[in-house]
Amino acid sequence: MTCRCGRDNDARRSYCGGCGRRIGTSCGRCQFVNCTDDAFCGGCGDTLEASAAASAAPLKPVADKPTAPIVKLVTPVPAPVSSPVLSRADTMSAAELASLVGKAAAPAVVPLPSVVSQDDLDRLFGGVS
Amino acid sequence: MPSALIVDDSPVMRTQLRALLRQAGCDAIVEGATGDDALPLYERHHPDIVFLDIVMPGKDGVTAATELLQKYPRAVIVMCTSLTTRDKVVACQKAGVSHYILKPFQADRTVAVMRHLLARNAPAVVSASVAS
Repeated sequence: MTCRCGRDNDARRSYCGGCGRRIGTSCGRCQFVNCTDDAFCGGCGDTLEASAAASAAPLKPVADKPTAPIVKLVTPVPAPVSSPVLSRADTMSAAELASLVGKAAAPAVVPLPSVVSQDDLDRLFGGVS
Repeated sequence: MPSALIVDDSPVMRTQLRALLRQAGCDAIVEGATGDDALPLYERHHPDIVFLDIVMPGKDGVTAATELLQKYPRAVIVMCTSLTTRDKVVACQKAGVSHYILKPFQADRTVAVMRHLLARNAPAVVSASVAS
């Protein structure tokens, strides 16, 4: 926005970078930049209140064409997978669970010496008292 | 009646196992002498339990067991060998064999293993054969 001192200021500024005046709204009729406390436009003499009212007409859309919808970049959250009900799963042994899925249970971890005996093997594979 | 397959290159060991299997209530027994015999004999007879030696002509017993279990995961395989190294046992366990019996056989223990595995995997036929 151009200040009365002639400096062209960034639209985001509240005060002029050249003279320090507070940058007011521009006149609705002649676009002269007035101070915020001015009652009449310094460019055309029009009352700034009337000018402000005139400029308060409904805004036109920037573009006639509809804008593209906003796409949110959100990491997709996987839908909850429905699983078979295993209400007793927390109380089942590995062998019971294995029998449900038709696979052998994972062998137990039994420490073995480098040379094994039949006792070691019976403990490892189990089932023989 | 439960059925069994014995694959061992030693006729003496096959005879011993056959006698022990009969004690365990198993009369239908098929025999092979090399590791290469295991899979075709299994596919022809579908025995309830398989006894595999490890050191044999052709495929060794671990390889034969691995191949058989990959194709038939529910097969019940017992390794019968004099090899006592941990690595060999672990390899068999990883392959999924059901038990590992050391030679020379301890008759009572071997029969107990046979009965246990047959009862677990063919309970109906075992109870029927024991009753008769």
